[in-house]
Amino acid sequence: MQLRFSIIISLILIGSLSAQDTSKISLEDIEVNFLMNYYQQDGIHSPVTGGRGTEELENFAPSITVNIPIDSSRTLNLDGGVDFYSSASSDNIDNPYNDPGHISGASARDERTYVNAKYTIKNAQWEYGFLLGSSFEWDVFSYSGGISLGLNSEDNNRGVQFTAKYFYDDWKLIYPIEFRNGQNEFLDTDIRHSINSSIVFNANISRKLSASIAADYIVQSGLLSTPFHRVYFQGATDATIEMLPDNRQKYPFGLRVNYHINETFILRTFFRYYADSWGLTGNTAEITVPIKISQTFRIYPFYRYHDQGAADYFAPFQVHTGIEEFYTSDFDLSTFESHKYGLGISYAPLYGLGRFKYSKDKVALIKSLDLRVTQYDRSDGLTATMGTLGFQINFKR
Amino acid sequence: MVKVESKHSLILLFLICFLGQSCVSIKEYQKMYLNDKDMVLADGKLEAFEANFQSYREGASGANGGKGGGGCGCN
Repeated sequence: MQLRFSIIISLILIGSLSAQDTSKISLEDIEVNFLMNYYQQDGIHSPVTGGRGTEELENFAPSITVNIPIDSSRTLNLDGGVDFYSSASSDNIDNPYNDPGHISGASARDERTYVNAKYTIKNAQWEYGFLLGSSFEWDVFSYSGGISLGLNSEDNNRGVQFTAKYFYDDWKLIYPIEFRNGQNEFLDTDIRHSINSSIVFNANISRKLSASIAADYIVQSGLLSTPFHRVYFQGATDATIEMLPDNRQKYPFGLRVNYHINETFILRTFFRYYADSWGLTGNTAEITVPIKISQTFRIYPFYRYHDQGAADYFAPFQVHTGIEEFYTSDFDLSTFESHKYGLGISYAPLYGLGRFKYSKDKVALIKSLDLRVTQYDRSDGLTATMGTLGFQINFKR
Repeated sequence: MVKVESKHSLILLFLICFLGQSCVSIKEYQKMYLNDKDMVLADGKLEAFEANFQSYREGASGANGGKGGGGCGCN
């Protein structure tokens, strides 16, 4: 799968490099970003084992994004990657009694491969985009398509963008091992539909201040339970399967304000209020202070705070009574607060980090190197650490 | 429910104020600070991974260009 994916990306890149008629206009560079992310988490509230048990997970995720200006008005943007993960909690799908001596099965390791494309047409004030995407993992095939529409004011100081995207997720219903008797179907459907719509207004308020507000409306229907999440009722030693409504509507609202303080400091802020039809509410605030150490070197300390109130259907291990219509012990839907903090660095020399020839008379410039390290702590005990490394290479045309 | 509706009203009010406010017309040659790469009103490219994991680890997601659907991510 990875080989096929690499070949597809390579063919698209080579094709776009060779197919352009550069004799008429000077085309902008093709921008390629190579990104590698490592993520590790641990916790004690896995939904696979009913809200208790390990949430240990490791994920390594190389990815690539390619931005190809086709001419002065059209752009093709591609991104794709593979997530290689190992998950102790997935492994417990086949471990009904949370036995620490359980021998790992095939579900402990897997990959998720994804690819997305966006084709954009721009003129003086309008911008149209068409989106396509797909992802594959061991239990879900996902396909998506969408459109975007943008309008800027004549002086480019105000703009509005509308995006609508549809996801079709086809699930393989993997039940916990003790439910796999070949006779029972616990869930009515294996398809999930999601429609994400978003409207964003942005404005330059002064020479140093800009802001945007975003309102999303997300509707999901079909399979919203996860088939291998267990729930234990009060006093029960045998599990049942998580049961959630087949419809969910989400209403997030976000505000961004950026302020260029002086030649050294910039202030980036983000706030979001969230509510949904399952009764879950949340507030998120994030601040980043980019610091220009020199013309080529910047650092990015950041902090993010999030709190949320639980969904109506959540209760911890052995707290649900069994008379509820819907129930889950997934702590991602519980009441908690979380803190995320870390540091990023960016090194971008004026003439690049290096250059190489990619054809007889064409040069590619290694433009920048970025690194970001993040720590995430959730009040229920889940912790995560991650690091991301990125290179940007510009292919001259 | 009433609390949620009042919050929605506040958001709507803010939206109207934001759209209705008269921005100073800033000329292209005055946008030196606004054109800085860190003044972009979106997450950076390295932050996409974090937006993705947050959409799984937190019930609340969206309004930041992050993932709103598609795939499992349920581990």
